[in-house]
Amino acid sequence: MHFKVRAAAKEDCKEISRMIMELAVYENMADQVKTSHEDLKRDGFSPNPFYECLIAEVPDEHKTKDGYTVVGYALYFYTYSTWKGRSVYMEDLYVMPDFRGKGIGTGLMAKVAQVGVEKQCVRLQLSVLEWNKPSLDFYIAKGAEDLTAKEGQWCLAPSLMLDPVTLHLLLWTSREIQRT
Amino acid sequence: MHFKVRAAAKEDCKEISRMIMELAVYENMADQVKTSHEDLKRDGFSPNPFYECLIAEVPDEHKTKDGHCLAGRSTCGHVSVSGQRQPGYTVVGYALYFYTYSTWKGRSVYMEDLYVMPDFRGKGIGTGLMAKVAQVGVEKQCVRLQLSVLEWNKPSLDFYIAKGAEDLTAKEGWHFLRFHGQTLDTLAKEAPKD
Repeated sequence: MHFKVRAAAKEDCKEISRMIMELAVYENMADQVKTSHEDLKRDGFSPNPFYECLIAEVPDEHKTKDGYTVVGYALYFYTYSTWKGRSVYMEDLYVMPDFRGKGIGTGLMAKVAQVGVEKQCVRLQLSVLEWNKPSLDFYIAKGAEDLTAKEGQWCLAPSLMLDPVTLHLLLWTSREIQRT
Repeated sequence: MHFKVRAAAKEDCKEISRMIMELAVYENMADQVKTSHEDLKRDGFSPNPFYECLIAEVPDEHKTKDGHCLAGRSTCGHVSVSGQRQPGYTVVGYALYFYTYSTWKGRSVYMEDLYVMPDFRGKGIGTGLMAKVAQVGVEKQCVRLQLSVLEWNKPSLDFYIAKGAEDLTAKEGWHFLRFHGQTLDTLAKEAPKD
């Protein structure tokens, strides 16, 4: 099937939001989504963006029954390894169920890899839930190494997480240190 | 003990490099370090930096034979907002972090390295550094601070759990995957043409 992968524009944020929700439903976590398309717009399309995003589109004649032509996305950002240098982290990779098995997921991920390589990144990293065998198999087949299995390395994000309450406790600690 | 936490400046890159190597030695991975202080300078101090870094310093008068400061008096540390190197202070720890994004929760901060030289541990410096990372994150409206720990590194795991961190590998079953070297290049070649 003919498809195109391109950088997301500000105007794509509603579509990205729609697909984020679809992915959350797939991962049984729909109630966890707190970001809106306005958050996405503010955080991805400002001078120091928090992420970059690629969109996969199919021609009108293949659009979904609901009329969508945007059928997948890959959202990623740059990270840093103090040992190896620049890296890229793929936070989300999603293709709508009816468009799977056609190379779109591979196309999106490969484009993230290409963008990373052009920026001299030496690693592309991501996390997968251990029950998500189809995704794990997909990435391993593409050459990914499972570092949790191999090095007992606990995951990048999220491995250890401090929630807002704990974050504020730490902030209080920082202020206490400042006062004396 | 008296210490200061401040933003790293370009000139600190040699010191950060020194401590990165010390941390790698602690993790039994010294041969794995490929970054130089010039890489750190280029990647952290350009218009779109790949990371930010905080430095912990103690007063010069407590210097060790290697030129780093010894534990001394027991006054609390203070946080300086300027990125300037303080005259009369020596670097004994760092926290290196960058911003990440959760499509469900939004802005996040990830702490890649937290390190305090062995002679300066147990004095609140690690906590001070991490708390400052948290503060910087909260000021930028981040809703999470995240990090990774090797499962054998029980002292570090205990330190973070004691501070309130949640272990999501244990709780939710995440696996961390990586493409690098040949596998990264092979994957990049599959990108559709524009």
